[in-house]
Amino acid sequence: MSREIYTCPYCGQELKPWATPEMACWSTRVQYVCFNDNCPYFLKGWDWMRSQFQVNASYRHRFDPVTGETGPLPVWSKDAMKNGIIENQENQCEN
Amino acid sequence: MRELENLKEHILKDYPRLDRSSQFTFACHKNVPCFNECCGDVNIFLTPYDIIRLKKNLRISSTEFLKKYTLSPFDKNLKYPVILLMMGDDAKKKCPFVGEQGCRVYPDRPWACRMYPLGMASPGDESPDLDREFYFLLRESICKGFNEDRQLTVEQWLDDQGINEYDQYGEYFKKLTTHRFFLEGGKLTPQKIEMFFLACYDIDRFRNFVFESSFLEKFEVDDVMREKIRRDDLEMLKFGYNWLRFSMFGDSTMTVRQSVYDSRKAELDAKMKKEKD
Ligand code: SF4
Ligand code: SF4
Ligand SMILES: [Zn+2]
Repeated sequence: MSREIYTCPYCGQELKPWATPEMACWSTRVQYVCFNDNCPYFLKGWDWMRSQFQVNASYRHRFDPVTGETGPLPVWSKDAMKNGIIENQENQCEN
Repeated sequence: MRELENLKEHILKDYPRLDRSSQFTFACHKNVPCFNECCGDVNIFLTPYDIIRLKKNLRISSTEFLKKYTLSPFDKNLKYPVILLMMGDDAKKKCPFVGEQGCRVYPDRPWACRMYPLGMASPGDESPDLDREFYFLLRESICKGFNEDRQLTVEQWLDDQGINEYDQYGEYFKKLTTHRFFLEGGKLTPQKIEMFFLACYDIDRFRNFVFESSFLEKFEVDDVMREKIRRDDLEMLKFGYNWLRFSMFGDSTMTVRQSVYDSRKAELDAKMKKEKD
């Protein structure tokens, strides 16, 4: 059985599993997010957020593996939300 | 989906389940080395009750509050609109309410700020193994509060933080957001999204709408209730939830006036008659 790998439709990099914080409107507790700082979606997001909301923020590509939905995850900085990344995955060596 | 199962397990292992009587070690006060560090660069989603408390604290209208301090990120896949507290433009992306002495809206700070370092998982989340609510500790790496010498139970923390009032209004909101309409994949039309935004988040504009449009000609709302919602934001909020459940999901939470039915029927009869002729 091969491991499921989700990739970012904007930059092609592998999405990282990410623990959804409390009170977000998403009920899925583990989602996948592109944390590539050079992802064009993330890079373009700064201008878009500035033009829409006059704020210095951007967003990252988010994928919900339960509902299959994708959407933006707003971030205020390059490192925001990175502490939610679930790095260690013992199951990786099983395959 | 195997990997997902493993991840869930991993999370449950990393965040052991706590109940209300579980103990943990934590304190946060002015003398921790990280004081105020956590009040920036965070996504704080505001609940309708949070907004009412905050706008009162700041003595401004909900409309002004939303405009000045929040944004509602656009996401075509979101089931309903959400409100995010707007962080500052400085290097630390500071929360607009953090000052030298700490939180400037402390008595009315949002639910999310009260809960930290506790996270909560409730049934209704997707995990099938979740039959009842539990708590877990979120350990942010910058947070030195865990090194403090203070033992307390989950219950004590929740009491200490005044979470109970928030929970009461949170329950009403949850009835909306976890409605089977959404669970069954229902999507709101743009018009209904606007209604949701208005009744849940912009309570002052919603009140104007109720009293200044033809709203009260359509629904039975007795004088006592009219007085209540005119004066009291929380009554207005509960009223709004009922209106939303009626208009978004067809729940029988509002009573349409007989006269509305009568005129609707007359219209239909006239139309039928015309078609027949
Ligand atoms: S509202 Fe208060 S407690 Fe919450 S992040 Fe802002 S300053 Fe900190
Ligand atoms: S990081 Fe933790 S201990 Fe430090 S101020 Fe924030 S909550 Fe308190
Ligand atoms: Zn990407």
